Amino acid sequence: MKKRNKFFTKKNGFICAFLAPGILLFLVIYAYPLVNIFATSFCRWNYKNFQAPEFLGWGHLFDNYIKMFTLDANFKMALINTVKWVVLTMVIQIPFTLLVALVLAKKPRGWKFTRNMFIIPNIISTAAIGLIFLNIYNPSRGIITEICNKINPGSNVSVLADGNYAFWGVTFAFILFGGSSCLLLLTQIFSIDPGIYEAAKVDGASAWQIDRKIILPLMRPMIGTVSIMAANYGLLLYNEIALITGGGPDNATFSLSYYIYRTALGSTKLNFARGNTAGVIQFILGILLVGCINKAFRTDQGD
Amino acid sequence: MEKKSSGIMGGFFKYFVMIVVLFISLYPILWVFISSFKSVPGGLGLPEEWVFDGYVTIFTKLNIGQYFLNSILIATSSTIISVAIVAMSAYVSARMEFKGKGLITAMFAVTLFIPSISISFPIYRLLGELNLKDSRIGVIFIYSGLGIAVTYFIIRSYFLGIPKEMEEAARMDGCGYTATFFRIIVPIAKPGLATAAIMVFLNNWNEFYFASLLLKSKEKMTIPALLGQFTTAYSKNLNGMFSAIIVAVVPTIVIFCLLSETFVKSLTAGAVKG
Repeated sequence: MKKRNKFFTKKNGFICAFLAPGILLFLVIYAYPLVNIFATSFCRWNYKNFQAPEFLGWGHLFDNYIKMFTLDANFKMALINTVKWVVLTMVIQIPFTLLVALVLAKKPRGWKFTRNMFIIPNIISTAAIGLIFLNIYNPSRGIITEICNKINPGSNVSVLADGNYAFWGVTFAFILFGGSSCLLLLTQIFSIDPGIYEAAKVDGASAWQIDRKIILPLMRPMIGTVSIMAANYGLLLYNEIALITGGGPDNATFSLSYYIYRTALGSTKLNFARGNTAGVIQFILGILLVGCINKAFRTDQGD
Repeated sequence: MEKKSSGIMGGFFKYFVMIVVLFISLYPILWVFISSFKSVPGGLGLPEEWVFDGYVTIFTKLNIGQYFLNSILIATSSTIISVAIVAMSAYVSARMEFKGKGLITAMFAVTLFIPSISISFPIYRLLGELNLKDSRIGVIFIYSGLGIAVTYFIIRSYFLGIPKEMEEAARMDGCGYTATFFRIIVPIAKPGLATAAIMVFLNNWNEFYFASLLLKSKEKMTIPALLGQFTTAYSKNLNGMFSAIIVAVVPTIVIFCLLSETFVKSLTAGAVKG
């Protein structure tokens, strides 16, 4: 009896009242949809029975997964592209951004201006970036075709008409824009105590040696953090595809996100169950990715 | 070895990298800007004759003001709601002792791992059932929940940095829990809240996926959703499209240039402290 009274104190009332909106938001926007995609990935649910999903039965539990991996060419394409984009962010964006950060950290004239300009592509809407690149790649009004024709007259390269080129077209619409990551790396470099490398300087080490032997190892945790952010961007890539290629040509630039959208929401033969199945795969890949990168950089994030 | 610190190579290399960075960051926007004044947009070089048709069209026929109003309304309300809700949870988790406290932080942290597109179908359906599909309220509701993990860590770490004595003094004077939070803590934590709010606002201002998915009627669209329309609907009006891109990005760029230090703080807060 006493214990019960103790529970209904003013303090507990306050705690509950203050936590309630946050918990509600979490339940509605994250928990319920997450449970929903897991549950419906084991159901038959498409445009024929869109009112209510139908459980596949224990014998056919993984049918959606099996069909998606074996029969669905679009999914295969989306998965391969997504893996490529994740890898490309790691091998292009991160080294490039790191190089820029190391250069700007020397504070050459105009470093702050360069840093700020580098952030601009990250803070303007990706819808605008997508539209800009859509025009840049356009054969009649863009510049890529024009430049290619100057180098190799008559080549008439059309970036978005060829699956291979289109993939790189999408890639270069986002991969070099590492301004926010660069900012984080710079913050980390500036927080290193100069005393640590002053001694090396006195001993005659070159700036490049100091960067490589002293600064880079100290930046490991932050490199891990920006790698997670960049790889995650590659994993979730959607806007650039929706705006530049629309998944084409011939579905060559599908990403997982775009596949989910097209399968569950944006086509005539909607297959909600399969879209949600792909959602589960994307969720699991995300966790694996963070786990792997964390392990590689041994960063202990969060608190 | 070749890049000896003070060597000519080293200096040259630095400026080369900086020029490359400036080029890739600015050229695409500049290209659109210059092209928007051409009678036939596109191509290299400067316009032969400067035309302003595109800008005239989007301000008169397209009624771009309405889209800006929608964006402002949606981004502002969702930012206020999101920051308020997260701040309340963060405060309780930073200051109070109770069972399952760790769960609150875990709950917010877990949202980092839930991609919004993979769960977008259930959300879409839920909004359909609530009759909020093509509505600004629906979008505000979704935006309030996006990115709450980073917001939570920024605000919580700010609350943790406020000395406990402040509240204890307030409590002594007979201030209730709620009053302490709103009268004492919120004013002190304003810089932290502002840092988080800028980031939330920026994300919601730019959000494209849910905006293009949910908002189908033109008079409700945000700026990014409007830009999405240009890939199909308006693609014949090239001047309009080029001008619209510029009008859409210029406010963000101008505000960023004016308040770059504030932005820099917001952009780094999440990762440095979280």
